[in-house]
Amino acid sequence: MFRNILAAFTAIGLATLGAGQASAQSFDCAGGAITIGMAKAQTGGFAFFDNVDARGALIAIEQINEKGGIGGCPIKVIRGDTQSDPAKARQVAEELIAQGAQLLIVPADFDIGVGASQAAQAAGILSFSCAASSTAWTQAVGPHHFTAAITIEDSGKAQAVFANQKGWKRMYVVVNAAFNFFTALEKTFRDNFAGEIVATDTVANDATDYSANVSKIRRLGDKVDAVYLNDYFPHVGTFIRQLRAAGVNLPILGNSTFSSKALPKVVGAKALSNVYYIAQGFYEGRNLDPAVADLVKRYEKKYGTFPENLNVLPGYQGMLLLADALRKAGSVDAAKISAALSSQTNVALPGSTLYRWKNRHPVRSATVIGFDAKGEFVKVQSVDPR
Amino acid sequence: MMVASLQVIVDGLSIGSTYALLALGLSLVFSVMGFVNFAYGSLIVWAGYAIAVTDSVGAPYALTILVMVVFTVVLSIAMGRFAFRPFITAPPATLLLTSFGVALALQAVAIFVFGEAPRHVPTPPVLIESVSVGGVRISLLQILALGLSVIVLVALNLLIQRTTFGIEIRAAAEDSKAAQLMGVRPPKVLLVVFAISGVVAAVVAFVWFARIGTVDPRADLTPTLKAFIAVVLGGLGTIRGPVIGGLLLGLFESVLASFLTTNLLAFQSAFAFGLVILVLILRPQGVAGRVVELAK
Repeated sequence: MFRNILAAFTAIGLATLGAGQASAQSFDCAGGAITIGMAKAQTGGFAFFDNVDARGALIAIEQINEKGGIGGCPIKVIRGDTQSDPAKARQVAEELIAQGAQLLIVPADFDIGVGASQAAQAAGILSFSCAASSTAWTQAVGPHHFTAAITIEDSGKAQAVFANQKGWKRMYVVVNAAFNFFTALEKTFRDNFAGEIVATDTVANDATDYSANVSKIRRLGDKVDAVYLNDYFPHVGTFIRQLRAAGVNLPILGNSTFSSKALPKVVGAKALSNVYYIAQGFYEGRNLDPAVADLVKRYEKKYGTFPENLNVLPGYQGMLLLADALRKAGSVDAAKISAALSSQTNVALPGSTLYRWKNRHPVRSATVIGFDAKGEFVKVQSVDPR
Repeated sequence: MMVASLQVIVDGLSIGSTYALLALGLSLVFSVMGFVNFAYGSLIVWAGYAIAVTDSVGAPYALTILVMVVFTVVLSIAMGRFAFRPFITAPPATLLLTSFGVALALQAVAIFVFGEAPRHVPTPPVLIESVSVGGVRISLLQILALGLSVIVLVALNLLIQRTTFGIEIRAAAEDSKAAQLMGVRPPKVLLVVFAISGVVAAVVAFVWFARIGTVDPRADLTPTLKAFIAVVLGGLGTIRGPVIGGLLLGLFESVLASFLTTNLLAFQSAFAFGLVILVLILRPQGVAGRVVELAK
């Protein structure tokens, strides 16, 4: 039944995208191509995330160009390396604009990418971050900046919805307070969780040993129903391993940064029992959405590796949304693309659903991912965080 | 309460013994060259990759560890020979900058070869599974970490204090020119010190990666910083100084993680550096170190 409803919904969403294509006026392809400037970190500490996001977007562009581009106008990409340096982001963006970029795809992180989006806003062109989840970013820049990943708030709400559905009443919270992403996520989770937060533990970003935290959880015994582990891989791999080795088999609820093919190897299949995390979509395991499976296949063929992290999906999905808006707008005019993006509703994307846009960030579905007895990633369920 | 306190001590000594080993490796090179080798963490990272790569071709765990030890020692000797020996008479600041350069170069090569994604480093489950002794949880790895640090400490102490080569190291550390006049060859001493430092790094890497299970190219900073803090706490110029510093740091972290309130837990690193500053003010040579004259 659920599958049928989902299939129907997907059909409606794809029809919506298709209708956009069909009803679009012919594209104003003045320069012979739509020039997208990609100002992203190709080197430095953030490159691990930004490169995968960019690759997802590039595969979408490749597919769009294979089908003749946007209204017959091909997409051309010019790239600049922000070197993971917030100060460089603006400079790189300005260089790309000077080279003829008609809209910009910017880094997946507010702090690292805000300069690039401000440069685009100042130049009157649209900037778009496929994989950013901060709602503050769009407000900080202005009307021509969009972020396309599931927001931190919706991720936190989705975590709470799932925890409430599971009937967990007493949660032990572990948070890496070094990043705003984790503290903001935890706040939303806390605000929406129906049960009680038994204790909150903060772990250092450079921690390599969690014995003290594990001892505290162990001491609480059956006063805890589940652990809310709000850190990122590889830290979470080490944490879960040490927790399970200490004989604590409580359910664990995490976030999208758990996503890594190395996690089952680090933790072991048995220890991953009752481990769940909330993500924007599912790409890590089997029985994938056919479009996601195709994305993974293309990624592996083009880059010689399985997608290194979760950003492949928002990169790909974000570019599809942008392409749809370009079709509807019929030009690269920032105001027209902004209006076209904002009008998108109930769009079924590969692996996720965009319900609507709110203040230029999306309201979209979340996916709960868990593990089977062999330690393989499995999709548990979709969650509507609204 | 008694069990909880014992658990804090066991946890603290366990991680502290790893810090002690890290600090020993760093301190050894300092004793001869008079500078803190910030590329020391890179040795640990590359040791992790040696285990991961050997494992990926299906080698048994014991062989991966053997390969890792050999590789780490060779890399450490190469580091000493090609990066530091040419500057053996240079001021410490030059050597310090060189060590930063070596660390960055090794990190860049690791990113180029292995990519940014963390890689799995295997650990036999028996090492990390813990047993309860009178309510206190302890794993084989924790016992091993403590045991290995004692073995390394005793071995280094014997080497430095009881062997001719140890006398040569101490002579070269005390006065390189006078040692040369006595027939000691500082360049040779330097390479052997780097080799020993490599062995210690390999021991650390075994414990470190068995605990965390992954390696990534940017993971070099944490072990270097921990070693540096331990060395400053314990003091330079002796074998026992870094060991005491490492154990103190481990215990300090364990106590903080166990008893700080939630709001203060985020500032654990700040507390650790605060302790370093306090020690530097009250006892600049460290808790168990001796005054080291750097000017040559």
